[in-house]
Amino acid sequence: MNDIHNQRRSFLKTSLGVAAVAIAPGLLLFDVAHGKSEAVSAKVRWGMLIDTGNCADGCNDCVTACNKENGLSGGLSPTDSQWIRKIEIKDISAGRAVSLPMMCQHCEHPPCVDVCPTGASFKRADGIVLVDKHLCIGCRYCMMACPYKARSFVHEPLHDQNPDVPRGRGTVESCTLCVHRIDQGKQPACAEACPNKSILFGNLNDPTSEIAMKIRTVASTQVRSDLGLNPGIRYQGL
Amino acid sequence: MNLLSDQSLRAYSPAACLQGIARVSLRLELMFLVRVVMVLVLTGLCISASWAAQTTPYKLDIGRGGQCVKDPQWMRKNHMHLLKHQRDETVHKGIRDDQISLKNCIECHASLKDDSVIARDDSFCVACHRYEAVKIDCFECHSGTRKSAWLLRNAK
Amino acid sequence: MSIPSSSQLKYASLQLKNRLFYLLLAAGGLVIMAGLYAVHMMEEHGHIISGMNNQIVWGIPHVFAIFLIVAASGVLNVASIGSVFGKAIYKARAPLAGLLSIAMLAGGLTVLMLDLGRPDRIIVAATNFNITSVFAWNIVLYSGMFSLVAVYLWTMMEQRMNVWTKPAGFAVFAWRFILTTGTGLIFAFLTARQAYGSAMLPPMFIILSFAWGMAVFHLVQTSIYVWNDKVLEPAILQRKKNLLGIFVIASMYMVATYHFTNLYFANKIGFEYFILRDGGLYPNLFWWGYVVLGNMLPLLLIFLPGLGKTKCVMVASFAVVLGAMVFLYVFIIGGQAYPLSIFPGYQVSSSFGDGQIASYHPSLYEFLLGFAGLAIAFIITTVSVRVLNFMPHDKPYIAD
Repeated sequence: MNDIHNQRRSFLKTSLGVAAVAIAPGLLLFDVAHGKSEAVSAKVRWGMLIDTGNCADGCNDCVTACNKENGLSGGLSPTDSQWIRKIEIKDISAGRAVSLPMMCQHCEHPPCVDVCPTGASFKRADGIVLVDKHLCIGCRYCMMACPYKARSFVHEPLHDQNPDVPRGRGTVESCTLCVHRIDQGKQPACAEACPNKSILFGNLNDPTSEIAMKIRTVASTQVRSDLGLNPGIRYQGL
Repeated sequence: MNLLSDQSLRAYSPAACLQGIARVSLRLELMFLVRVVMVLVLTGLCISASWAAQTTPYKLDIGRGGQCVKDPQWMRKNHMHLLKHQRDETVHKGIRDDQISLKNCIECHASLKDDSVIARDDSFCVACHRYEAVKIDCFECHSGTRKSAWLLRNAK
Repeated sequence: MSIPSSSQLKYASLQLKNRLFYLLLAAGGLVIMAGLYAVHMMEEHGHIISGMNNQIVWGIPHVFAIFLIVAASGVLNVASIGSVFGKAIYKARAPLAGLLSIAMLAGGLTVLMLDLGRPDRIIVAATNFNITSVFAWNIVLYSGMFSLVAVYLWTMMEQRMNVWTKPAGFAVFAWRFILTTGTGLIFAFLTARQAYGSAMLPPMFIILSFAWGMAVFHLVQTSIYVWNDKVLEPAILQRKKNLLGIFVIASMYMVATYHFTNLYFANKIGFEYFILRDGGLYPNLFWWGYVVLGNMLPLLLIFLPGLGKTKCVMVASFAVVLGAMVFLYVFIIGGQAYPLSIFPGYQVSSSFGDGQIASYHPSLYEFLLGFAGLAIAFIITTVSVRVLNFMPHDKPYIAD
């Protein structure tokens, strides 16, 4: 009896070994194929600090840059997409006026992700909130749920999109934080375009990054912080 | 006796038995014929299929072409799995594998005439998908234009 | 010329009804075709041809769809009172109530589905399921409702299954409460919008469903009685119209409480002033359309001495249904028209409609789609009532 057991065991061992030898090169090849690109990690949290004191009233450069980068028409009708917009606000009692850009705030707890029935709205590990348009069925519930009105619905068939920025009819879209540029190590188009350098982009999780150091030293606020969503976009001088 | 029907009684009569045998042999013959026809049809199908695999009955502009991922026959069969897998990896995890990205496919396979994989009836994606009657909605969102060409055109 | 005998007369009227039945089917089919045409156009051109936009993201189709879904749950009240609480006159009506529920649910869901930006991808909603989404829960709730009500109908219509009617009735009873809670939660979970984000909404929708479902039931029941040349016993009508009246009062109470709680929260006062006083179309619709037409008129018709006959109840029910549509219009579109408060305490302006009342002009296509939903419910009901036995069979009336 024991003999048979031993035989069986050694047979299993050798066959497993053979299998491992057979599979290993394949696995290695697989690794090589994917070698230079790895998944984004939660060690990074992308964010922005927007200095409203520097943001000029009437300047629209961030909006123009966004439209050009992402292939938006720039139209202002209620059915046109606007990923970023300039908002002029005025304190009703004090009268102080401020101009600032408003876009997807890339929340840590995004309501759009909570309500999306198919999981098309999702948050990438590095904190960027995106729409997977392959899964979006166009129900627009996320647009109802977003406290910042950051999302737009594509109302018309589109043509000649930017190869880096796929967009299409019947799906919901919003600021991607220029994810295609971030993945190439570049800054979002709006941050790059701002003539006053009012948009500071960086990794909030890295204590040595410029943005993290500045947030530690200057007073900044999150819009609708009462909702507890912890947006990645912060405003200074609000 | 009432329980037995007329038919079951008839089946036991000698004449009916003979008739039955004749019917059975006829049936066997018929079945044999059907089988022969089926085999013939199947071989015919196989031959025509392999012939079809060698010669495409439609015109196809493969652009710059070439082979970078796998051989054409494998790609014909499996490109959709690669694309779908890569799409999830890229969108959700930010893994941007240059080799099997849709953009990279288009870079080589877009027509040299109009820089597109979808512009004409014989464009790389259109010709085959039309022939196979498989509708794709990739290009409702994705650009069908070679990125380098698109960038040149939109440089201003 | 001979005088036609009574049987000949009956035959003639039967022939007339046959013709009328097919005429009704054709009419319903035509409305559905028109709706499908609208869907095709929206597929072709995108939602640009609808009146909906980036500010008003849900429009007329949602008004119709939510009415149908809420009423589908409410109409089961009739069945529940029969099966769960054992009242004989309601028991006799339970099959009809179940049928109406399935029909309206089918109509409502079709509208909801066809209004999607990508209805061709509806299968994704089944394959990719986000557990935190109340929309995704509702997909389960709706399909569960379909199957539960189907089983419930089976236990009632197949005699050997009758023993199971009560448990099935209980299951349906519980399920429909959860379902309407789910419908209310769609709005209750929208924390950022002043109009929604209230825990009042699920119970409010449940009570509203009672009234709307009962009204629809009255309309259909009366039509069926007329069709079959039968007269509903006055005592039964009396009881059922009183119940409708109580539901209408209860729903008014819930709506009033919802607005009252909002009025008490300083940050929601602006919205309440807008919807109840300053918002132009919306306050008018709310007070005249919902309160007067949808509540006061039906209550008068039901409870005023000397009224409350079949015709009055019919008119009252119709007014409740119209009031329901108006209510949903004010609730859904008015709620979105009021600007989101992104910077509380600030005056806001932008190119994207911040700080402005959004405008909405529903297009014909949206109405075609909405009416197609009603037509689907109508056709399912009409055909089923003709081929199966959904006519209430009352024993001689005994008060229980």
